[in-house]
Amino acid sequence: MSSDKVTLRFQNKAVICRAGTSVAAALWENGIRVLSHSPKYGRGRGVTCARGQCTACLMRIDGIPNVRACETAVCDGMTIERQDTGAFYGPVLQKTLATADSLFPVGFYYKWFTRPAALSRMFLQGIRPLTGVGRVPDAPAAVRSLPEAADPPARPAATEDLGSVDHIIVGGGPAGLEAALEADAPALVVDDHPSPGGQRAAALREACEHLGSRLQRYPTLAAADDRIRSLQEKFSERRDLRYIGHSRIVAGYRPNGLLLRHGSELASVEFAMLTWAAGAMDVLGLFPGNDTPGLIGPRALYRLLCRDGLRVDGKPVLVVGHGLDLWLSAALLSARGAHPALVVDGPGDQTEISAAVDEKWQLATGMKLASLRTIRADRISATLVPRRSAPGPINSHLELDADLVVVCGEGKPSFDVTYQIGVDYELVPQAGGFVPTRRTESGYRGTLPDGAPVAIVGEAAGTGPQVPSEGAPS
Amino acid sequence: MIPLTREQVPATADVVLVGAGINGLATAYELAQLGMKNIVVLEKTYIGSGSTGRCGGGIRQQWTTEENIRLAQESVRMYENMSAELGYQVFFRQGGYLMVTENENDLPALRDAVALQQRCDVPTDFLQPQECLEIVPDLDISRIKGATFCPRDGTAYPFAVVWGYARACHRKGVKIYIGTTVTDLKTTEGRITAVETDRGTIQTPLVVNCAGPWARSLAAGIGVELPNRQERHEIMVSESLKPFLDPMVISISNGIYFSQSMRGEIVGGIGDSDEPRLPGPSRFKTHSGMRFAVRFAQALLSYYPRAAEVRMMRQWAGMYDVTPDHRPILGGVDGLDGYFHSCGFSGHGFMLGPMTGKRMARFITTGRRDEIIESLSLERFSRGDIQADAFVVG
Amino acid sequence: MSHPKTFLCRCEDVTLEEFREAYGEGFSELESLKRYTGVGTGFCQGKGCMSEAAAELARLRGIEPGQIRLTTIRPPAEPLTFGQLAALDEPIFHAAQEEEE
Ligand SMILES: Cc1cc2nc3c(=O)[nH]c(=O)nc-3n(C[C@H](O)[C@H](O)[C@H](O)COP(=O)(O)OP(=O)(O)OC[C@H]3O[C@@H](n4cnc5c(N)ncnc54)[C@H](O)[C@@H]3O)c2cc1C
Ligand code: FES
Repeated sequence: MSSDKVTLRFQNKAVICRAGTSVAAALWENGIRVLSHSPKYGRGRGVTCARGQCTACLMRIDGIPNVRACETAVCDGMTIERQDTGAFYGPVLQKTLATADSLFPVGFYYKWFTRPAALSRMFLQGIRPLTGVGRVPDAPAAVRSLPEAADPPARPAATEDLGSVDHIIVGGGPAGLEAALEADAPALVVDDHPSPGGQRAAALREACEHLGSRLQRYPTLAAADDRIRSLQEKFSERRDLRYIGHSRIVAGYRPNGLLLRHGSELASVEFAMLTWAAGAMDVLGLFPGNDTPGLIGPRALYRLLCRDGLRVDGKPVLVVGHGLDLWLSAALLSARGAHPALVVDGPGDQTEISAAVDEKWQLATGMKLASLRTIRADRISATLVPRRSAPGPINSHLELDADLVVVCGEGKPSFDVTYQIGVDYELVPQAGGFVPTRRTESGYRGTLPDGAPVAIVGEAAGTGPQVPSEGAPS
Repeated sequence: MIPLTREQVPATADVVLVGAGINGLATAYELAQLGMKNIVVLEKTYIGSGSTGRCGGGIRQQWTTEENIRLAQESVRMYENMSAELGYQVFFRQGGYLMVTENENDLPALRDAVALQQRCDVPTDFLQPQECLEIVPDLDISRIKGATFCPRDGTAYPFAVVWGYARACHRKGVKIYIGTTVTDLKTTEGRITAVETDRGTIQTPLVVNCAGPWARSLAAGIGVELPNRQERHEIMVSESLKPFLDPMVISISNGIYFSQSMRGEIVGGIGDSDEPRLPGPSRFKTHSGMRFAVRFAQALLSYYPRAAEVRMMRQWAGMYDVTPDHRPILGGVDGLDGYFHSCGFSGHGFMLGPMTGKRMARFITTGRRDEIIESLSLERFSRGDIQADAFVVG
Repeated sequence: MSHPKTFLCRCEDVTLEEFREAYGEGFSELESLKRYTGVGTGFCQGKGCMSEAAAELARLRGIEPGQIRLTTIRPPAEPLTFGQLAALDEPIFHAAQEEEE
């Protein structure tokens, strides 16, 4: 076997895939999209966030339960199993529930079979084996975390000398790099991407190169790419700024403690000052079928294509939404030989729309996603309806089939760690979710309960991708 | 079902209970059972938001004083019937409690405790380390010197218990107000007259202080001095896995306890002698610490190495309302008519709550102190009648 | 064919309808709704659904989203194995000694 191929054992069958990709991408390319079944209704779930932030890809890998397939690099001989058996309601009940969920109202297990005491005991005994997902680990084994580039995660005297730092900047995207460059003192930037630039950097570079001279017709893409490149360059010139890739902040403890995970190792970090620039998460929306395998957000798309090299050539892909990510997804997909169909959910920007028409991308405007369903193992059917209050074809529903559906919109600011250590948050749906109270246009600046200064900037502050945007529709 | 109103409170009530934890709700339910009307429960945040919702849900009969054994035994009987009684599934599962020690010197005390428990009809047995493997097959017994096991101990889901009581209370006409803070108790000539809240005043002749860790400051407002101290305790749950652990394992050597819930999570905590006991102001520090996560993980793996690849999902902290002898304070106060308290449950109010609720309700309605109310009265501290239990763990 | 469901919380498989039903049963704040329905208690630690659940609750109660009290978010932000945690060396700092609420 050549070294660029590896063989996995999936459900006891051999699966051959490219080396250097993630388990989730490898299975996808082998036509296996359902990675797990949901605990209650037993619905098939596929890779969703591609970033270790959801539940959809939890599998038993090398005897360890609940391992994230999207964050695990393939290696020869790896055993991969779905954790389907006996999820909460059991297979028979799940079948029933899938069709008649009104039989089981919310919280029915609190209310049914409580009397007499003997029946209640029998009920408990009966449901106990159905609880839980995944069996306890077989025996300790090594599960590798995915190297994002060809080079293995360099261990920059990584974790040992951390201990306490003066200024930690979490997130190496444009907002984080800008904060680092503005700082006149040494700072440490941590991010899970191997090098500075953030979630869009690689996708932007590739898309811009693909567009070549046509790039001028996509001013938002050009501006975003320029900005990141110039920040990357300035950052590399500053000796007092340090970057640690392959690292994620996985917990916050008051007053000023963080847990950093580098690969599979943890280190504790005490900071004097924190800048939170951890960006945003994809938001897929609330509509029927919003758990259909193959529905992802732009950030997941960038990771699957740029990090895992997922093959999409020749595939129809539906991209719905607005903003920078809509155009970036479309351009990246066409760079990879996919056939993007674009649905702009607002009025859209004329410059880009006319450019997209010239690209020969399918295009509709003023529509939004109404529902999704799987029609074949590798095909999704989407129903689109006119967006109220937006000009566009009225009353014309649209049915589209696609291999992959990408929903682009405002991201959801990442907030859990800063909230844990004492920053006040409030719900502002227009800003994508919870955002720091008393934030300004440039983000949030304040102090933690014990007095340590904290800044929250960029998409993490709910201020949108920091690029000229076409103006979000209502 | 449970209309948790945020309205203005009523102008009058026959009795007001402060706190919708297990004690407030169980007492309210038992008062209603005894035919009392116009019962009002006031809760400053939400149901179970105090210690009850933060606790490990453990219920055991393995104690070293006869009184504690009898109290717990009575509670276990109530828990065995609770789902049926309340018409609400509280997930009481009797997987037993395995109490282990790493210290030879503890063995005589363990054997004495077993003998006492058996005399009280609690089916506890003494186990050699090897025998522990029959109960927890993957237990690392290399440091364990001996253990005791009672198969009828168990765990219940704390939120289900308080919701179940709340629902049953509601059916009996008890009014529960959430988001309502008692700011003051009013007395005139040695009698309770009213309860003041941030949503209005309620005239009432009777008030029951079930405010858990906040009980001390509430009582202080009317000159009742409680010896309670507040101690922060941390706890965590793991990811949910298929059943693999039946009992609660608890170590009297390092204070760790862990079991597997009906959702499949490992639920566990560990005591920390470095935690200060605070002369409780009414606000508490309930943040999670990294120190706990590390100490718990180390202690867990020392007994259950197979959990090395199991993940911790969430950790949190709660308050123990601790008394000098770790026993609750029940009853009333001489010279202050209409005032009652049920607090100071230390680390075991969840297991005692149903039973103490019943006895408190009987005391409140009849005025007769039974032997438990007598022995757990506040006056015991001035009488010097303190009998501490050796098995205070966690 | 079943009618497709709208999932509020994918980890714990909670649909929008179930969340509304739970609200109808009297659970009117996020902490209890979270525990009763399971919303936000799954592997994603609430990243995927807490803000959606909070927005839905604001709609149900007819109040401004900003008035919804956020639930406590408990560490860690990503599940960590006991092996990883046990490998951290003590002493690890104590939790803050300041006051809550
Ligand atoms: C980490 C941890 C683990 C534990 N494990 C166990 C265990 O395994 N087994 C066991 O038996 N026990 C355990 N306990 C102890 C147990 O949780 C408590 O003893 C018990 O829950 C006390 O119940 P309570 O109703 O008296 O008080 P609480 O549950 O604290 O209820 C008091 C209520 O009063 C309310 N309140 C306070 N002041 C006011 C006011 N002014 N106005 C209105 N409302 C007010 C509060 O909001 C609160 O809801 C544990 C405790 C902790 C912290
Ligand atoms: S965690 Fe792997 S897809 Fe979300």
